[in-house]
Amino acid sequence: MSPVSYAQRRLWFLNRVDGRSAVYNCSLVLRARGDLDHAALAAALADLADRHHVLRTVYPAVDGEPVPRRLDRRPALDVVACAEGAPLAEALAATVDRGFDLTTELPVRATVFATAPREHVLALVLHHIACDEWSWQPLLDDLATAYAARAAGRAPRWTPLPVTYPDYAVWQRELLGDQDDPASLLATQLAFWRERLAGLPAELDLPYDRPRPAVADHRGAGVPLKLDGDLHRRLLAVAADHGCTTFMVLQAGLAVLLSRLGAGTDIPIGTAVAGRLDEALEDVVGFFVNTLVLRSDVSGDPTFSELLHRLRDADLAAFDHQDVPFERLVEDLNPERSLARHPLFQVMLTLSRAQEATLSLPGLTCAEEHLDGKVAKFDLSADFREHYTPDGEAAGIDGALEYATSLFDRATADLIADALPRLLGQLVSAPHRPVGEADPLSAEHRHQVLVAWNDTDRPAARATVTEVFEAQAARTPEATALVCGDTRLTFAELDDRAGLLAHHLRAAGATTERLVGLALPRSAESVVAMLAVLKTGAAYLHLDLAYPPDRIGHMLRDAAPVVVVTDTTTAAVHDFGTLPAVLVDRLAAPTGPAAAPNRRVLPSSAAYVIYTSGSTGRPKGVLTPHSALSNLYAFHRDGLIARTEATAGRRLRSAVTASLSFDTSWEALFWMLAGHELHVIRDDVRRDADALTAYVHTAGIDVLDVTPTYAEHLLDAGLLSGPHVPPVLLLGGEGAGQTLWTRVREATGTRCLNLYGPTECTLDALWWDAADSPHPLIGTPIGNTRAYVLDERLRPVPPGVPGELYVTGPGLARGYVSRPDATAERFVACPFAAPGEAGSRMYRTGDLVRRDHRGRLDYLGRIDDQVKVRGFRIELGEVETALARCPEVARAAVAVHEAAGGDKRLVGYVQPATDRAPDPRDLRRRLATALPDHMVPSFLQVVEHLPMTPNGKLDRSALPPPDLAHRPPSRGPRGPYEEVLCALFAEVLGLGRVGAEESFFDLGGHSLLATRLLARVRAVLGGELTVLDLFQAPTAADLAVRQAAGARHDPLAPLLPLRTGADRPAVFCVHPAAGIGWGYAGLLGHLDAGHPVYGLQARGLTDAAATGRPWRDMVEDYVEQVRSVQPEGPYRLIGWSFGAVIAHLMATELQAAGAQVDLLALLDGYPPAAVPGHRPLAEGSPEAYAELLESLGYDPAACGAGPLGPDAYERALRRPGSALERLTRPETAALARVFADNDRIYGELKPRLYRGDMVFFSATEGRPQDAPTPEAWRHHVTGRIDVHELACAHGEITRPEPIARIGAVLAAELARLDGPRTAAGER
Amino acid sequence: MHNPFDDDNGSYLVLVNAERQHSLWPAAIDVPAGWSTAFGADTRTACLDYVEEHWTDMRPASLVAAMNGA
Repeated sequence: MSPVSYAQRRLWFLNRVDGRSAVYNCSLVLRARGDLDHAALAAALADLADRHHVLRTVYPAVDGEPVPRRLDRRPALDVVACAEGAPLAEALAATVDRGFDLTTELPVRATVFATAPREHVLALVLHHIACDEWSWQPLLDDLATAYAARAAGRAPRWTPLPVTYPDYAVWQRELLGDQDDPASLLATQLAFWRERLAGLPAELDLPYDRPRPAVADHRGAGVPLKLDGDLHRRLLAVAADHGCTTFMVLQAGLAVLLSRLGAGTDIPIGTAVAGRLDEALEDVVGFFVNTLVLRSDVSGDPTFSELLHRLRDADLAAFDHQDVPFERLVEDLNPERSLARHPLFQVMLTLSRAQEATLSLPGLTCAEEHLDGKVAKFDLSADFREHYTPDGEAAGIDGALEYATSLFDRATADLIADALPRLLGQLVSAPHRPVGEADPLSAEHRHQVLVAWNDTDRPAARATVTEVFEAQAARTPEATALVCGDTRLTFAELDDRAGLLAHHLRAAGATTERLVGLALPRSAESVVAMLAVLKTGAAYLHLDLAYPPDRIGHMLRDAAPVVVVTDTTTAAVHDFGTLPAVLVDRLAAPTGPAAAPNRRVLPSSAAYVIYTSGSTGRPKGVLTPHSALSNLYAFHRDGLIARTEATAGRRLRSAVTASLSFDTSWEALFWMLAGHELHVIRDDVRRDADALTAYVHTAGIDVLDVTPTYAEHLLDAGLLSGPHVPPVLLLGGEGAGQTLWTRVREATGTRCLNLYGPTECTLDALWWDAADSPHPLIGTPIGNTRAYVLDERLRPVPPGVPGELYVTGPGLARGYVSRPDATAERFVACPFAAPGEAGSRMYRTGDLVRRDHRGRLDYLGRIDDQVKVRGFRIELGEVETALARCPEVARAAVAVHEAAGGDKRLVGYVQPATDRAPDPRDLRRRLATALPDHMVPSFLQVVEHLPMTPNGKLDRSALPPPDLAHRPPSRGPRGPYEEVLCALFAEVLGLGRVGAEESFFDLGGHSLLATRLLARVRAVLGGELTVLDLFQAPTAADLAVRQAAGARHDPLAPLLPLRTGADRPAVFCVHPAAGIGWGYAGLLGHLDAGHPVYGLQARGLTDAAATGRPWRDMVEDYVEQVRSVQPEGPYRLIGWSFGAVIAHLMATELQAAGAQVDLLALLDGYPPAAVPGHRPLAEGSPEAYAELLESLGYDPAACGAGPLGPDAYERALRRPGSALERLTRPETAALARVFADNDRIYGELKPRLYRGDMVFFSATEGRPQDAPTPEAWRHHVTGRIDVHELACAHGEITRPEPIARIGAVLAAELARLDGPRTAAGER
Repeated sequence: MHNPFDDDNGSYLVLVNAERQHSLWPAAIDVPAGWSTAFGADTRTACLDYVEEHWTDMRPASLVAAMNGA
């Protein structure tokens, strides 16, 4: 049996995956004028298939492998009448775009479209498995020969082919030999490629317009490529000078272009070689073509000459090793496989001599018709044809750039097709210049990216924010300006208070170009103080009181304010050195006349200083001038604020939720300047998503500015679905994700703007309305601001290409306080200033961005080590410096780790200075004295060595992911609340398990996660724990105490309130024989938070006198307990083991009293009659202890050999990590007593008939042969017994897995009974 | 991607504009209009040292003039 070739095999597999795909169709369309003999053409086609067997071969699968089978059937010719124009185009597309099923269908489809009596269009469609581009001419020649013969009424006479395709397939395998033979061609060539392609980039960074789909759809389109005759000639001359082919020059040009478009310097480009290695194959139709990967090394900015030499050497070596089939190479190299992209390369380049395929049929004139390609096998494919005049002169190169439409827009393809000839022109004109000097940008694009897309001019804003405020206060003195907690100030009051404070500050030396420190708790006074400082002409510096004293000390030394504004309480606990203080709660009435406002404030006068993280370990103070604030205010005043006012038709309320020491607080303040009401949200509300959402809804807040991370939490809390939906939501501080973007777009009634701007550019430099783009954008510059996206030589990059963002305009800060060097390297000369603005500066942001074809900017990331965590800007270098200052640390590295759920955390890695590893908890404590909270790594990990790059720099990308599994051991949960809390800690932190004494914050918890945790705690346990509780009691153990204090209960009391305060009917869970009901805590996480959950526990646990009662007393007692919580039905009862029978008895008791019981769920408990051999256990006997332990899921065998005594029993119950570890010795004794008592009672129980359905959970592991079955209940239930099997032992039923199953079943039952509602786990 | 201002081995200038503001500048790139070379070409460190030493009053020159004149 003849084999298939390697290439055929690969195509066959692809065809098996998607037989409808036309990606591997080869088609040729010819227009023939004259009289066409249809019968002769049909016969010729059959002749053709006799000569070239691949045309009548199908490939059925045998054992999953293709086996060629030659059929007697010949390909048929379809003749169809068809009108010219659209119908013809449609018909052609239909045949060209239809795939083949290679297992059953011949790989040829031939159709004649008769469009007029003497006008025919012949479409030949072959599957690539039978054909390649070098096959067409022999195929057409043979077709012509056969047609001529058949038209003359005879069979064609042609010389038989010396070889056929199956011969080739055999020969190919023989030629290549066995890979295991090291001397074989296959082995040696594979070795060459393995070395040549080592470290090849898996995927090129091309200027994609869209993210790559998970599976390539292979849809494509093409744009023309054109190099004129002159360029063609110059290209040939350069090729000749360098001993290169034309192809190599084109390849070099393409590689330089892709590199300049962001693809890096190591650029694999694919090309095709004919693969007809023997002359004998030249006339054979079939799939011989092979694909080669040409690795193009553009690194080190070589001259074009150097590059050509490099590529020539590399290409020649590659062509020398072209026999390995590409598919064999891919198998061998085994790159990370993906259906999304072509393996090993994504860009193809081909060059052929321009030659139309010709068909000469007697009596007809034939010409090829070109169809626009609609498929793309690659991301990009540049296919060139070289033209020569008849006398051999270069006549130009043309062709098409085929592109994948799922990745590129036409505009990008145009840009590339346009740039390639221009770039080649520059390169061949100056082959001795570095290739980096060539510029792919056209003059039009240059104007567009520098000027047209930066057309943001608007009149300069003259008034300072102080003047704007004062004018507003004069206009609406009685309107409310400021609300904070219970404080409400009108504009007049605010202005007066600010004026009074300004008076005192001026006396203390505050004036223009001087700084005033603000050290006040968040309050209305904070805003009063900001305005007061600005009134004096001075600039303010907020001192965040939560910062460590060291950092505040540094800020004071660095910025040297003349006075600090504080209050008595703050001054008592904070040390401001020798700095004079003005106490806002001790202001004397002014002695002289009120000082007039300072009118000497110029646009370039300082307004405020804000400290940001500094990479060298010192925070930097950004000094912002008034003109920057004025410009941004004017832009928002005339835009967003005016539009919102017009829609609302009323005064609005804006809220400051950020720390006032961040400039973003101005985002809300601007609305007050415009006459609206400003709410300063107190600390306890602003950090708690639920509380803040409630505040927004009740206070009617209209404008909210938050980070995208926090916005997610607020939306989860129902921000945009409450009774009052804020009409404006501003996002800023970090990149916004797609999920949030989509959510805010779908929300109605809220306009959401994404605002971008480093502090150095004053809040916002760019902005975008989420409504105007389906994916997140940072958009376009604000008024009078220009954005430049530049490459490494400060040249603008084309649209779609990543570059660094530079910003210029009035929003620029003046620089960093006392840091001329840092200022000179970030605020740099602008080469693109308009003529009137020569000498202006631009700020280099360090942000990697790209523009789309409409000029809108997309944020891609950082080019340096600055990171954003929950909106906080952090220089990793600063944290590393602080860590390395600890004496036991030799070196330190810090990275951002993204946990499950997208939560970003800072992780520190330390290399110890000595043999003794430092204690991470201790290091964190010390860091917290030097760095603000958000800069202290969530985790610190001790590593032996930090990974280094070959040139000795820290290799952050090689840092291991944080190893959270290896933490110091912490005891397991004890008691129901700890158990639930530990589980919730683990869930929210994304960890496998969390010990009861591990701090939430040591495990990476932060304020936003705290909010999420508390929402879960409230949902699962009920109660009212707040974020403050968590800060003060950050472990599950401590928090459980607070939760219990809220519930005020004894964990062994007869009624154990597991979850209270919910509004639906409660679920009551009856204890097993041991009397304790803690095991039911595991249900909480699975049942809707709307259901209260109570455990019923044996009285004997707390009252020794309560044992020995008749069982009827017990049942009556429990029913009373239940009624005390919930006087009316419907009742829901659950019982485990012994408790199952009690629950059943309670249910019948309640029904007898006329109450409704609509859920009775029994956990592996059976009526005593089903256990005939039951003999009461003697209290204190080894058997009793063993059974007790087993009933609660403890293994008695683990207690050691010999009979079980009270000591071993107690040790087992209270072993570390046990849920009952906290029990005292008398309590464990009570458990044993209760167990024996219940064992006695059990034998006496007399279940009655329950009216209704019952849910039964049966434990299937470790069951004795004669164990009862759920059927034992048959005579005690009128309805169905719905049985669920649990793969666990009887005593293990409350372990996490089985209890989760039970919870899920019960949750569904409850939802059915009460109607749907969100499950406790979903919010 | 590299930034042309962050090359420790690169050659730089110090530029000054009419506001006496200083800018580090890569020596290989044309000096923008409105700026003149005050120092260099030299190493990055030497240029930053020059800035540290000579840009002592970081207020824009026009602001200094206005404050003195008023």
